[in-house]
Amino acid sequence: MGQPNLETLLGWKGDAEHLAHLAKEWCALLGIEPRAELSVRLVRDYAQRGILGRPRRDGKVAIYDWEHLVCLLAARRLVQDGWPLQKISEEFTVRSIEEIRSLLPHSLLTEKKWRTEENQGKKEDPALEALREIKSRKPQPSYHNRAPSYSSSAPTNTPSITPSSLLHGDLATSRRVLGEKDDQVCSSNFVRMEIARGIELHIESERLRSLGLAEAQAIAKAILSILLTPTHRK
Amino acid sequence: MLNITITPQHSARLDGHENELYALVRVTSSDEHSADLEHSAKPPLNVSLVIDQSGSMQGAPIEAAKGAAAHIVQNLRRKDRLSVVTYADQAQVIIPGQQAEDRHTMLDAINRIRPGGCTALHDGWLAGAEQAALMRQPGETARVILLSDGCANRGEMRVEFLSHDTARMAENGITTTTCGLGQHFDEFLMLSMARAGQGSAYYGERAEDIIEPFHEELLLLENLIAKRLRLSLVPGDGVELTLLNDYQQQNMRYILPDLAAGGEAWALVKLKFAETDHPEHNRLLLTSDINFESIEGEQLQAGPARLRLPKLPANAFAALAQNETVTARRQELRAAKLQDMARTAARQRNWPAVERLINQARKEAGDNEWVEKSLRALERISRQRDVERFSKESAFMAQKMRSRLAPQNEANPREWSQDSQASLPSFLRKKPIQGRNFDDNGNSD
Repeated sequence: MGQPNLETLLGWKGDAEHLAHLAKEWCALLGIEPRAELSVRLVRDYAQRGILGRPRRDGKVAIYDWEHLVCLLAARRLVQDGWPLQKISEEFTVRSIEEIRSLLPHSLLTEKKWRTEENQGKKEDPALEALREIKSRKPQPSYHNRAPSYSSSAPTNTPSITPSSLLHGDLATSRRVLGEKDDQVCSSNFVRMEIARGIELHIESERLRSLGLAEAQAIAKAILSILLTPTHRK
Repeated sequence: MLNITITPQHSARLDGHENELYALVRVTSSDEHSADLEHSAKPPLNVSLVIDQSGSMQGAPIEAAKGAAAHIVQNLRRKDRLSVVTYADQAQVIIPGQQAEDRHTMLDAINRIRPGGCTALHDGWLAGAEQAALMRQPGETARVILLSDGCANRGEMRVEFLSHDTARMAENGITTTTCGLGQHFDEFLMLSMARAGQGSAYYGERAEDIIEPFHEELLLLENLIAKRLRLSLVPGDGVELTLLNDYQQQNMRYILPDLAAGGEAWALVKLKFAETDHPEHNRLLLTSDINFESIEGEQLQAGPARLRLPKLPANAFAALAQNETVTARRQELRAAKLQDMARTAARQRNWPAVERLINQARKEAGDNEWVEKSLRALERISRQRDVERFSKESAFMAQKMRSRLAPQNEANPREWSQDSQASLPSFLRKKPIQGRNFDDNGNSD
């Protein structure tokens, strides 16, 4: 059997008995202790408490699905951690199914799998797997991400005058010509927001993080004022 | 091996009224001998140093970085493992992960680092994490220590992605500590990466201030007794709970810092509840337990600890003394919040607001000498109208106040003296200026 993955059951539907049976199996796979008997009665009790969403009815039969299974497993996990059922119900009513899904122990599974495979002589560190995935992601192209202003080989460990140190001298001179007193270039990270094609808003990322409502409204008014001022539209 | 206790601000609840009670959840070692564990008997460390060698590191910064790396090499045991990665336009592994046996060759490689180029910070971190992972034993935690004096300007630069990646690796046992240097690094990025990476965050104002963080980090790693601390806080019926630290949440548990010998990991919570017609004399207000991993990799749990308090009429309640430690931690967390607000104001060059907020923080800090001393230092920086310096010091100080490891059984929590702090291991000290060496903290400017 490959690594257990709840998502393989995404289209699943079944009655309370089937749900209880599946949940029992998955509790064992996920390392959740079945402190109480996972029974039809327990499923109905959780549904009544609002821990599981309301099941669909097919005549007299209540039909549960993948989301109910996720909620049931997550609830059992929290019960194991000492959460009272009332608190779980309160939490689940305000959380999305993705958030509830994230309560289930992905990382424990991975660690368990790794340790088991290691015992069998097959070493696969989950950290290396994660690194491979991170490496395969390409950085988002943006105006920050432009090519360097000069072509340079990888840094070497032999003493040399690097292109950057030559450029640094040019920079100081150039800045003096431009009326700046020192050679310290002020650099900031900006967030570029494309409102529509050809219309962009650039805000210093630090400033954006601390932007309050009043300031946002002031910016909006300033933009409006600029856009409606004829001299600015030429 | 670990103990969990809950200390309330008052030893009772107020009958017939709406109550607002602060409680301190403390996690400490129950093993008296853990601090005395023979240095050689401790499990090996796995450290990956990632050093910025971009052009801006030219001069004193790169020499200081090399000194810090050399310090690590000289202080590791032969069984510890080390890798060193440098990054500029791209990452370069200058010491592949290996046991710290051939120190001469390692020091030689460090000595040959020369600055030049851009700041491909993500690539550097990634290469460091890879080296740590390649050298890792199953279940072992490894640490990447990332040093930078600038903003990432090559490769992946998005803070949310960098933080996400460090968080992901931390979950896979590769944690990340960051160290910023000077006035031009991105403190938001460095703090975010360290927080997500479940490591520490340091910075040095000047080149000479960065050896100390490396020394502190190494001491911390050598003295770790528990990792992956996950705290559960379950309020009693009808009780509203607010966590006042900013610990991240995972699987409805809070991620506390790793615990080192002699230290205490803690969380301060505010509990709000109505106290009208509650039948129980000793009402259950809070239940808390902690999941953690021993340094040998064993999954363990401590607790649950339960906070039950009796109810008292108003006159008897008014006579109750407040717990000093709870008061001191409240003052620290409040100061952290006000420093964050002052930092935002400083970024907007709103210096009158900065002054107002610092004054307010000083007023609320009362007789907490550490908080008062650090706020005075911030006030001095604000008078210089130095946005970068103010922003960095306030951000790192706030982070420290929110998540520091406190000394176990901290005596006189509101008192501070250079001598009393000097007697503590550096990872438990309360420095009034985060960006300076401890010895410079008495005479800050």
